[in-house]
Parts: sequence; structure tokens; C-alpha cells
Amino acid sequence: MISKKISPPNCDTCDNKDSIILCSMNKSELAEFSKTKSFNVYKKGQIIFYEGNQPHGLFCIKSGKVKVHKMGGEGDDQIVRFVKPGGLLGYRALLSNEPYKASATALENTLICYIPKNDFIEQIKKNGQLSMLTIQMLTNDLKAAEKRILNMAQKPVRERIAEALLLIKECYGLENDEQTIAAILTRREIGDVAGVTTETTIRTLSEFKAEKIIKLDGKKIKILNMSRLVKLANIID
Amino acid sequence: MSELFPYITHLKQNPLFDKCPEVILSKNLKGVEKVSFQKNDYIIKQSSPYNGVYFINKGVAKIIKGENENHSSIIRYVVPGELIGVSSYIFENNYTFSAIALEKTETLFMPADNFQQMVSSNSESALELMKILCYNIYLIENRTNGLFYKTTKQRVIELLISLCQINGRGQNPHTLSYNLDDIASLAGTTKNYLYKVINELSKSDILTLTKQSIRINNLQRLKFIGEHEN
Repeated sequence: MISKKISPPNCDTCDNKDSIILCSMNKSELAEFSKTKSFNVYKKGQIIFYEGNQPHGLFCIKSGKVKVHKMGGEGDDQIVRFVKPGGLLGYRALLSNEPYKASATALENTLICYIPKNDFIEQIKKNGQLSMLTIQMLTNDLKAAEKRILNMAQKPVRERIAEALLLIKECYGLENDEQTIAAILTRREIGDVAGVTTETTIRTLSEFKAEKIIKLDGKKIKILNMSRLVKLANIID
Repeated sequence: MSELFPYITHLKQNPLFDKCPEVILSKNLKGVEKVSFQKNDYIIKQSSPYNGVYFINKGVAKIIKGENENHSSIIRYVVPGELIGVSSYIFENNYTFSAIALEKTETLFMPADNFQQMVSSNSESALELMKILCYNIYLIENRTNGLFYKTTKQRVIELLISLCQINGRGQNPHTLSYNLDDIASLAGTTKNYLYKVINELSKSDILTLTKQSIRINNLQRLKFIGEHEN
């Protein structure tokens, strides 16, 4: 499953140090952490963990992107969230001592540090600041989950697809032209983010195209009118 | 101080504080009080300033959230043993939801500062709070997943079963006295469609709908239909 194993980078000199909650630890704690963690490279499309498996450690993304997704009854996928460099994976299963509730797959070649379960839990018990940051992270997750279900219940399809495009743009960024989303996603994957069928996604994207909000170039999507797209998404917090 | 001892006993019964030393608990009881709410009273109003958390002792409340009162959806029910307000705790700003008592509800209110002190000074309580948050996230994500992939009938049946489980802590687990609008909202359907499913199930005598409640007559059969509905 793991494609390549190389020496782990030092947490203290990590590029994402400012965005990773684990880096709230002091230098000596970080040095201890660096000793026990491992570091793996996942190829695009490679599964990092499967829904239903038991967690044994925490994944911390150094570079690359990951999707967290749940399987539906008939093998359909629902993308729960995207995780960028500096983000953590598997912490909820670890903290609640339950099997993973979703799977994680690398969307591109991704470098991930792996911290054994006991080291993470012990640090949370010892370090009050890390503990509070973890609670803050979970609170944000709860708000995101509530927002998502409200969107499903209350938002029309057009708003959900507009929001999905903004979410994908947020995760992948834009190409040099500052308009084209730097990702090649299928219509089905966009539908999986928005919670609509592939057919509805295709129809709605065509409407956006006709309204000159986006331009479609194969699987590439160029955002022509960002303010209109944001307004259409009707994002509330 | 002696009048505060029942509060210590009560808090120790909650998993959040069962490993918390009594010395920490007793230091943080100032402002803790029992507060009762009548049916349809607001326990928390969305957008009001966060001032603490409520432990539910008795009764049931619903958590709703939305742009405004007329455009809000039910997120979940809270029952004895659960607490409300934790999602606003960390940012200490305004409540991002409303909580409304569905029947006479007794709570124990703990002011924001005390709750903060208890959680930050006790790592076991902090870990337990993380577990509670993980569980709440799981429940919501599971419902979202259901909206993607399950049929409306399946979602209604699963919701009725889960409400029976919530009621299981009470005396009459199979009589559900919840508002049909709320049940429809939680299942992600309309009241008309909910009626249709209920009528279908009542014809087979699996449940009975009365003015005040839904009585589940055959839970096993209901579970079987839910598992085999496509």
C-alpha cells in the first residue's frame, strides 16, 4: 500500500509549521515527536486508509492533497472534505477510539508524516494548548458538518454546485491565469462534492456556462465571473 | 458550600467530568444552577451571546439552526446526559444555534468561565469533550450521507428507530411524542411524504399514529423493512 518510505522531515523545520496544530509543542517536544514518527509517499489515487479499519496513528500532510470520502450503499462516493498541506487526517477516529468513518485517498502525489496513536494522545494529555487547539479543530469540523447538512436540506442545486466549485477552487487554487481551477475533476466528482447526481451536475454547469459565469474546457473549469459565483453560492456562516 | 454537593454528584455522573477530581469541580461551582424550561421555551437562542453550557437532566430539547427562525432546520435532539453549547465554547462568541425544550426540561447551567476552567485544567475532561464532539460530527455526517444515498422511506424508518433508541432512556420507549414537522425536517422530507410513509406502515400495524404521538407496535418488523427497503 505504501509506495515509498524515506526519512521523516524534522517537525521543527517543517514548511507548514505555522498551520499545523501539532507545532504548538515546544522544541524539545517536537524533537521527541520527530524521533517516533514515520514519513510516507502516496501516489495519486492511492488509498491512505479505508473506512471501517481501526486507526493506529495520526496522518499529517506535508505536501499534496487528499480527499476524505464515504461510500454509499451501491459503491457511490460522497466527498466529505479535502485536506491540504498542514492538515491532519484520522484524528477523529483516533480520539473516539472507533474505526475510521470514511476513507482517505491521495488526489496527487502526497507526502505524509505518521505519528503513532499513543504519542499523539500522550501529548494531548500533557499539553494544554495542543488540547485546546484540537477542541477548536473539532468545533470547526462540527460547524462545517452542520453547514453541510443545512445546505443539503435548504439550498437549491444551483447554489450547492456554485459552492462546490468555490470549495474545489479553495483546495486546489488557480492556475497562472488566475481564473482556471488548478484541478482536473470529473463531473461525477464535482457532483460528489455538491451531493447531486452527475446528470444534474452536467446540466447545471452548462447553465453556468450559458450565463457566462464559467467557461468549460474539457475537464478544466475557468471562473469568468467570480463575484457572481460567490453570490450564487449564497454562502452563510 | 454543602448546597453545592448535589451539583458535584450530578456532574460526576456525566462522562465529561467523571474523572475530574472533586477539588477542581468544587472550585468551579460558582454560578452553576438548575434551570427548568417549559415546553417550547428557548433554552438557547441563536445569535445570543455565549455565556455557558447546559447539561440536560430531564426532558428532551431540539437543536435548530438557520438564517432566521422561519428558515431553520432541525440538527438533532438532545436528551438527558447530553450537554448543549459546547460548539460555541471554544470561540466564546455567540451561540450559532437555538435549543428549544420539547417538553418540560430540567438542566444544569454552567457559566462559560467555569466550563473553560474545568476543561483546561483537566486533560481527561478535555479528551472526553473531544469524544463528544467527534460523536456529534459523526451523527451529522451520517445523516448527510443518508440524504445522498438512502431512499426517503429508508431515512424516515431509520429516524423512527433512532428516536425509539433515544426514548429508550425513558419509561415508554416506543411512544414517540415528537412534532411531525420536526421528524420530516430531520429525515429530509416533507410532512406530506412523512404521512404517506406512516400511513403505509400503520396499515401493516407496524405503528399507530395518534393526535399526540406515534406508537411503534413492532420495532423488529420496522428494522427489517428499513434494512430491506430499496
